[in-house]
Amino acid sequence: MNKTVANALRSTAVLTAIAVVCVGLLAVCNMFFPKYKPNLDAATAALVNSVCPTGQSDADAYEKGFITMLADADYGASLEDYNKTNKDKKASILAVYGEPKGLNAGAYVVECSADGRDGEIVILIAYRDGGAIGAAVKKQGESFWGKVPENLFEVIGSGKVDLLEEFGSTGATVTLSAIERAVKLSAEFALEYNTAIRKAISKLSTEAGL
Amino acid sequence: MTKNEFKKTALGGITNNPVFVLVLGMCPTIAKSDNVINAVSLGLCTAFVLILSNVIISLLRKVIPDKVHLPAYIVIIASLVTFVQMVVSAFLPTLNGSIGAFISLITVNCIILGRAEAFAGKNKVLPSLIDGVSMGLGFVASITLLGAVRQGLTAAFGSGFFDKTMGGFIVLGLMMAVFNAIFAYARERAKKRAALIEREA
Repeated sequence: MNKTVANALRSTAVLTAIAVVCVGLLAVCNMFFPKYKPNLDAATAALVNSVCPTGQSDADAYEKGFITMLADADYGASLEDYNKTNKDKKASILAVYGEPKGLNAGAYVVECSADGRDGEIVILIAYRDGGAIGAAVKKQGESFWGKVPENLFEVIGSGKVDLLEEFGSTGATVTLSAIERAVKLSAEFALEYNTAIRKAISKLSTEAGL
Repeated sequence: MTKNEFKKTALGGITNNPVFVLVLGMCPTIAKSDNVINAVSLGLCTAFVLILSNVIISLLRKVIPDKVHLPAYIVIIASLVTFVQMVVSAFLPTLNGSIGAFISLITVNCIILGRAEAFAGKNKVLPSLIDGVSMGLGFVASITLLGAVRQGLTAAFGSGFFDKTMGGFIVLGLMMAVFNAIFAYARERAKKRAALIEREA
């Protein structure tokens, strides 16, 4: 074998080995980092109360059953299956919170997510009668978050889903694109399960004697 | 490693200060020294990557062929930067919001690549570790000092100048002049003292 070819092969092998080891180590490290799981805690309840007001204080809304996290079985769906079916949309539905009583009784909040530039962006979108009425971000680590327009969540709350078209000029295109994917999937989910979710919330209200 | 070599390497962070003497890594230095917290955080992230990359590159210096040493260094540095970014975004989301964009840029920071190329790629692990620690601390100290001065000036004269790039360049230039003047004076005194001792002897 020619010396030049041997050198080239050695260089390629060393470079490949370094890259593989580095990627492997990062993958192992990634397994030990905390993974996000949706749950109804006081902070989430406060956010839900802000996008879909119950007419109560955050503490009362959380403690007195004005907000509840719906289980898949309540509205006859499987979020895992739904996300698998919609894998190509690069977004997922994480949870559904219902409001069995209060100012917006019967409304619900969908927690959805998509991968932005620097990790997962989790958004809460409130729906009443199948239409969006409010939105807020629950979790994000985007380094370009400052470029996201201030009125973005008002726009999402008004039912608009084509965010890139509207705000693409801000420069935070990767972040906006992730939010847009999550909003679109959430809107499709709300359209598909609106009746079932409302029935489930209504059942919860009846069980609570309201 | 002789005592003299150790002294020279350990003092590298002062005598060859990356910011005030070598004038390397100016992009994050100017952009994120608008306040002390951002400056310290970015300085520590850079120092962490610098120390570890120096050690790893020094360990692999005989394995990495000359023709691909730069891509190999970049892969190693980029992996360390990715790790730092994962830690910051997982555990310090607020900090990630303020310096996140600049963490990725550590990969192409001239200080790190410069030390890898000029020192770690040619020396053993221990000297490379000492060089990394010295240069890293030198960078943290200088960017923190710059951040403190800029924050102080912003507090005194209001925002809009010293917290912006233009003000940052002016403050950095003045601090660089002061640092080099003090350093030159100290070196001159040391030289005179050495000559005096020699004459007396």
